[in-house]
Amino acid sequence: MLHSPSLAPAATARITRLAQLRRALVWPLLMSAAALMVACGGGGGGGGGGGGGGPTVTISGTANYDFVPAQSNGIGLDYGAITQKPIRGATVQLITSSGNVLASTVTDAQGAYSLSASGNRAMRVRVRAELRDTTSPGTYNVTVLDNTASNALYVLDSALFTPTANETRDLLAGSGWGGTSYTGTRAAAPFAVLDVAYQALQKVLSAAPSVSLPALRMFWSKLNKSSDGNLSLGEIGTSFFTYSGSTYSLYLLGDDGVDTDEYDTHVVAHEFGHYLQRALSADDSIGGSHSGGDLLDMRVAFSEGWGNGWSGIALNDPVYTDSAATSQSLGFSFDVSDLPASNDKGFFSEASGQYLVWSLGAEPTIGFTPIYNALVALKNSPQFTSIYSFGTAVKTAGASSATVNTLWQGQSILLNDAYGTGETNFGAVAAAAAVADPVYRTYTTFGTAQPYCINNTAAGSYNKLGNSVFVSFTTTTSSRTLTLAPVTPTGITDPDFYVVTSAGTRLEGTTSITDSETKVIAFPAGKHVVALTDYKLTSSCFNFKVSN
Amino acid sequence: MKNSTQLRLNLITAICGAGLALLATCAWADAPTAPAAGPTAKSKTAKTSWVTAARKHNGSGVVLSYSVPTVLSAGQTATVQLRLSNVTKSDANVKVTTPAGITVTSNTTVMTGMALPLGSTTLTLQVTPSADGLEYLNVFTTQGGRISAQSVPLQVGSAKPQLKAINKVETTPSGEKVISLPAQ
Repeated sequence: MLHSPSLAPAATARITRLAQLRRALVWPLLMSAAALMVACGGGGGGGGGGGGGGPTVTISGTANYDFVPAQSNGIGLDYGAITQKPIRGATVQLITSSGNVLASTVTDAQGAYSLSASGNRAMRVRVRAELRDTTSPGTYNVTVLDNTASNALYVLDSALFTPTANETRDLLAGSGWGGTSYTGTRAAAPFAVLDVAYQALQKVLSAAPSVSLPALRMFWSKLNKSSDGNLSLGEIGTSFFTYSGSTYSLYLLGDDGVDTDEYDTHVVAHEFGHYLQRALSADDSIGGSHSGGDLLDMRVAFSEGWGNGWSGIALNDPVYTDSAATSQSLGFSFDVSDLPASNDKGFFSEASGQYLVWSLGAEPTIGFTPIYNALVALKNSPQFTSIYSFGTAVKTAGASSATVNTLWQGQSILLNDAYGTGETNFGAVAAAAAVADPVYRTYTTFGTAQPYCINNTAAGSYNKLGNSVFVSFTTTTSSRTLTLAPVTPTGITDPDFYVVTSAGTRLEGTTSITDSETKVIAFPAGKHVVALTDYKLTSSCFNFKVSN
Repeated sequence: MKNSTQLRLNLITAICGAGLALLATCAWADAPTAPAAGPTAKSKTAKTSWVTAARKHNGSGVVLSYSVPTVLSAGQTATVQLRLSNVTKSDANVKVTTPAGITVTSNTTVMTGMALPLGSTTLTLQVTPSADGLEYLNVFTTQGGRISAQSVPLQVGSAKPQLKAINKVETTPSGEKVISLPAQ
């Protein structure tokens, strides 16, 4: 408690008045100084923040965003059914007019917040498009940024106000929808994206409360369009996840009337699923174009099936929707819980993959935790990621083998082990099946080339069944030379190979040398696998050799 | 070094599973010299090689490749080619939309939607831009009940595209860049 200076007795009224004037001037200054000393040391946990010259005030309220649901038939968005959803888990601050932080907290699951600071000065409430917890157990850092504006963080700001008593300040991030197109600020979009991440994180934390996730930057801009080019100009091509330079980034479309994904929650969750694969697991998918019913490379089939099935689990909704075109009025949907058609089942089927991932999560005796643990186990599994390695890992993670095997058998997949040993279903295209059967061939003639053939026409090219052939081989701890060359050199092929060692290390031989690929690899002891392919997408036979 | 289009596909190992845009350079790098003047003269500027557009997860599956002049000229007609491949279903369809500043004067059926035959189809469009700038043809393909949207860039004039400032970037006292969205 600060005291005003005492005066000598018999002081004249003039002195008294001077003293009173001094108190009138000095007292507020002293109080301000004291408050500033408090504010500099505080600013966290919802309280603190002095220096306003007034009593401590509590500013509380809820933060919400406009959410546009999909039409009931799953085709396009329904702007007539906009609802307000809470902004959950986001950092909320009280800031001065110049941007200094007075107090900070996090919204709860209902979007509610409460902050205290010294009042009687201009301030605003700021909600950051950020989910951040850096204190163990369970750490994460997710931000929604504008890749077309210097990667700036989106924040939702209230108007300035000067509280002299407790106040309620509710914030709403509006959609900006004008009836047929967006005409206003699309403030809701970043928070719609953030909320998918919130849900996904909650699911991960439910299985792994102590997980330490690497930072994820989610980029969204109304300028993000379906054209390749300069990311900083919004030419992102499509919504995608990327890992580069130890940075995990996710880009989302925002092009009104063409393709914008902030409300296509399964699209966002699908990409978040690939972030999880990169951060916690392994993903050997080679990507590429595909559509329903395709006979896919098993790596692609699993990766896409994982993304779709996971999106249903994360959002607790098996119906995947994606809107597009004018007023986001067109689009499509599919239900990952739907049983695939009989001619669309197999280890090469994306539909089987998504159905199995979803079904595991929906199975009362299994749930998400074994799925999560299996995902993590795949990181060091010595096989290419596929429905086989995943299913095997799920069983190892504690799921009932009988239950898992039954689910897999229902998709015409024989889950004997992570290598697909004994598989009998290779689809209806004989030429592709001829390449794909067995799932992994075995190379045993050390020092001697063995021929393996691929086919880039029967089921399609690049990422379809039969475009790559999978081979296993065993070594001691040793340095070995892998060689791949066409049986009959044509001057056309560009053979490549991808390797997973017995330690789960991923390596590749992907030079541009015509009709040849060679790489020396230091192998640990054990069984390794290699995928042999042709970058030029021919249908050819190649000699593969492991030698000294 | 593998060509840029196929290199993009190979790098999918490190990113999510679809043919995707990466951290690529601008599609409009190094514009050639201006074409001959005249309102009816066709652009003589060189075309880009065929570019395969990025494809979204769970889309139509139709592969779009395009070949466009490196630079178009305002008021002059240019040829844009669209190749649509991997058409495997009988319900495949394509529709092209253009912004107000672009006029298409051939193959106009595609503007209202046309069926795609199985296999591969190449469409040749005559496009006339009205002003300089960066415009986009939007190509919508449907197949198997799914739709994909892809945008083909058309650089009109040689000026490098400038990003229109739509969100003001502020810098906080701590040096962080933020975009302030007004709450309702």
